Parts: sequence; C-alpha cells; structure tokens
Amino acid sequence: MGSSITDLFNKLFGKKEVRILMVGLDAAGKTTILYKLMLGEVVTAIPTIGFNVETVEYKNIKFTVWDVGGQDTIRPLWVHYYQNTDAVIFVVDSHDREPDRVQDAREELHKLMNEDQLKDAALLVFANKQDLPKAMTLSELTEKLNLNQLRNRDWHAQACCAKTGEGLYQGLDWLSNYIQNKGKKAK
Amino acid sequence: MSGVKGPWTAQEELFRDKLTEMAKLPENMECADCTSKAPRWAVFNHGIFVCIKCSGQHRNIGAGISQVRSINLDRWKQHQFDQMVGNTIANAELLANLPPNMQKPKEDDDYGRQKWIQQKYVQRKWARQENQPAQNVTPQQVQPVQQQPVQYQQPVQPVHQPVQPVQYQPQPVHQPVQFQQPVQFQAPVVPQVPQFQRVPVAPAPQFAPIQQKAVEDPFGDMFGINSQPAPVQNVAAQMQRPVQPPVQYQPQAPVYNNQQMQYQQVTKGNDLDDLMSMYDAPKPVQQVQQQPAQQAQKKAGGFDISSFISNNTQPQQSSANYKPQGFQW
Repeated sequence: MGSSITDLFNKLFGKKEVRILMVGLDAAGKTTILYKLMLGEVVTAIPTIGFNVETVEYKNIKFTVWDVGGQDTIRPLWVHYYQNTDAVIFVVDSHDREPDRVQDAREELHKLMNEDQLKDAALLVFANKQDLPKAMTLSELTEKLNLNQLRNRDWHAQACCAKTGEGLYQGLDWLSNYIQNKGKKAK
Repeated sequence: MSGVKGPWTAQEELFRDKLTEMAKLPENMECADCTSKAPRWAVFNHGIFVCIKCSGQHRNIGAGISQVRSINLDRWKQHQFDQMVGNTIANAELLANLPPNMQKPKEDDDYGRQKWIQQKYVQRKWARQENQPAQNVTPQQVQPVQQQPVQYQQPVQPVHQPVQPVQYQPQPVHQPVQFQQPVQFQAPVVPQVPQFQRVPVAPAPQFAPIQQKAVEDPFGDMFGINSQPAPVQNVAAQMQRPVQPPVQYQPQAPVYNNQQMQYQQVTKGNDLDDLMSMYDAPKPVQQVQQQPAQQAQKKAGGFDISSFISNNTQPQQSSANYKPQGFQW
C-alpha cells in the first residue's frame, strides 16, 4: 500500500533521469538534433571535435544527451561514454546514399550493439534529413542497417528532420514510453 | 582502441600526409570560402580546402552537394583523394563569373558565409557555363600539388630574423682567470648585454684604446698592460656568450624539442648569478607556437580533443605522449 502511494507520487511529481548516448557517422546531424531539442532552434553546427552534452526535459523525464563527434578517428572514443547509458540514439544521414557510408553506419551500429556495457540500453535510430531529395525511406534504411537482425534489443527507428524538428519528439515519445515501462518491469 | 575499421592502413596514412602537405601550399593556405587561414578540412568532391566553420556550412547543404572530410581526423579513400585539385583550380571553375566587386566573406561573417556557400555551390551562380571556355589556370600551380609536394614541407611558421653568422668572429679568448673578480663590481654589465648580443668576444675597437692608453701613460705598467676596464668587458662578453647563441639561431630550432626547451626555460633568470649558473645551459628558444589549425579548432569548438587524436598525425609530437588510457571522465 505504502509503496504504491510512493509510486504514484513519483509518477506524478518525480523526475526520472535518463542518460542517452547519441552517436552516428560524421555529418549525420547529431549536434543539430541536440540543439533543436534543447533550444528549439536550428543551429549551423560545425564538426564536433569532442562532445556536447545537454539536458532536455520531456514528459517529466530528464534526458541527459551526450552528443559525441563522429569523425573516423573520434569514433573509437565512443567507448568512454558507454557506462550507465540507458539508451543509444543512432543518427543516420538518410540523404547520403553512398554505399560506403551506409556500410560504415551499419558496422558502427552493430559494433555498438555488441558492446557489453550497452547490452541493456534501448536503441533509437533517427533516419535524419528526410527533407532532402532522394532521402532513403525508413523501411529502406531499416533494411540497409540490418536492424531486423538485432536480437534481445528494444529498438525503434524514426524518420525525422532536424531542421524542421519533425519526428524528433515522436522518437522521444517512444523513448519515454520505454523508460516508463522498463521501470514497471523492474518491479 | 581502434574502431570498426581497425588501425590505419599505410595508404590512409599516406593520404593524410599528402593532404597535410597540400594544405600548406600557398593556394590552400586560405580557406576556399572565407578569409581564415590554415584550413584543416576539405570538401573533396569540389577539391577544396576549407576552415571548420565553412565545413559546417558545407555539411549543412547536404552530402548531395558537398562531401566534407577532415584532412587529419578522417580516413580517406583513393577516389576521394584523387578529387582534391586545390583551391585555385576549383575556384577558377566555380567562380568563373564572379563579379569583380564581389569577394568571399570574412572569417567571422557567419551570415555572409552562409549566403556565399549557398550561391556558390547550391545555385552555382558564378560557375563556368558549359559554353564558356575553361580558364587556363597556370599548370605551375598544379604541378607541385601532384608531383613534388615535398618541397613545401618546411614549417609554416614565418622566419623571424636573419641569422648573422658573418658577424661571429671567433677570436681566441685570452683573458686570464684573475680578472674575473672585478666583474662582480661592474654595475653596467647589464646594460652592456644588448651591445654584445651578436659578438661574443669584445670588439677590437674597444680593446684598442685601452692599450693605447697604457702606452701613453708612463705609469700604465704599474697596473699591468691589460688595464682594468678591458678584461672586464671581455669577461662580460665571455660571460654572455653561452647565454646568447640560442637567440641568434632561433629560426633553426627543431620543432620537436618542445618539451626539453620548456624544461630549460624554468632555469631562466635575470640575476647575474643565474646567468653564471646557466653557463652550460643554453638559453631556451622561444616556445614553439601551437599549430594554427588546432587553435582554430579550439576557437570554434567547445572541448578540444584533437590533441589526443592528432598525436599520431603530427610527426613533431613524440608518440610517447599518446596515452589514450588517460582519456576518461
């Protein structure tokens, strides 16, 4: 009885804190997504050398989003951000159809998903830059990234456009639902 | 520590080195789209070198128009490298019809940059038309890019001052030890320092009058032929000598001695005692400036980890510094 009242109280007033790691190839739009979520504005990002971290509150959840640079030589440093990550946001440039780049993205994603430290993390894939011509559709990208091969993973793919903000909050909706449900499951 | 792709291949390292050399060519020393210097990024499908801010703007217009790579943070492929023609050729094509009164934006003009890149690459407003003849860009500018970039390998830092070895006339220093004592009482030793900076041994003209005086003065011999002031100056000069040469040879200081020099700088002092104690230790050379590109990155981004990453890309830093284990928070 007592615990259920506490649960209710927490559900109404308590704030959950979630740690999110946002990665992806260079120029996928990670930094633009981060600042679009945080400020509601479109910034012209420069390549991230290092990382950005911001807190975004949505649906009573405090998302601490770590946005780490995606340049070839920076990617090996992602490993330092794995610890205590509740969810991974993987951003893909849907407009970049270069087979090499798609392959890079797929390999990076699957490497990430094989990391022991991330085995309990949820995965949200943002198929960004849907506003650009000839962008890959969500189903196309799902197939190219072999998302259906993921096992024991809660994942969701979301088409979006960081410049207009379309799709970003749908992605966060899925994440917050997942976090809430995960809390229930744990009890 | 290595990512999906494993360690760098020899070819990738070669591309990186070549690109670094190409970026040091005069034509590429300024960003293709603004006035900032020493660009470290490239838009390979246009073949240009750009600064980090312009690279951000190029990324913004989409990979269908501009494909951006860092010349040292990204691993290049052959077909990407092959497209790097350099800023002169690329601009001759893209800016063939640029009105003479128009110029590329200044380094800090973000709005101007956005507009410029939009017009130049998206609208291709000033690009050469199909019916126009190709501008004959002088092949001299092209040749060094592809064939002998090695000759541009010298450090970018400007040469500071001409070395003057001619003035250096080694003369036998013949002053006996017994005259070191008066040095302690010579207050004017300090002002004399600049006077003797170039010539380690006391110049002959100053030496001569003293001897002359000794000859004229019948009592000169009472004090010895070498009257007092002369040895003082010579000893002073002698004393200055070990301190001075590194200043003179500053431009030739090897870049990679950075740490050692820094260490030696600690011993620097203005006191006479300090000067004497430095007798064997050469004065530290002015510290090597940080790479301009790194500065630019620092200025542009928040946290700069390029020092971690670029260690293996910059030959002047010893690989012993590379400690990825320390990169944790």
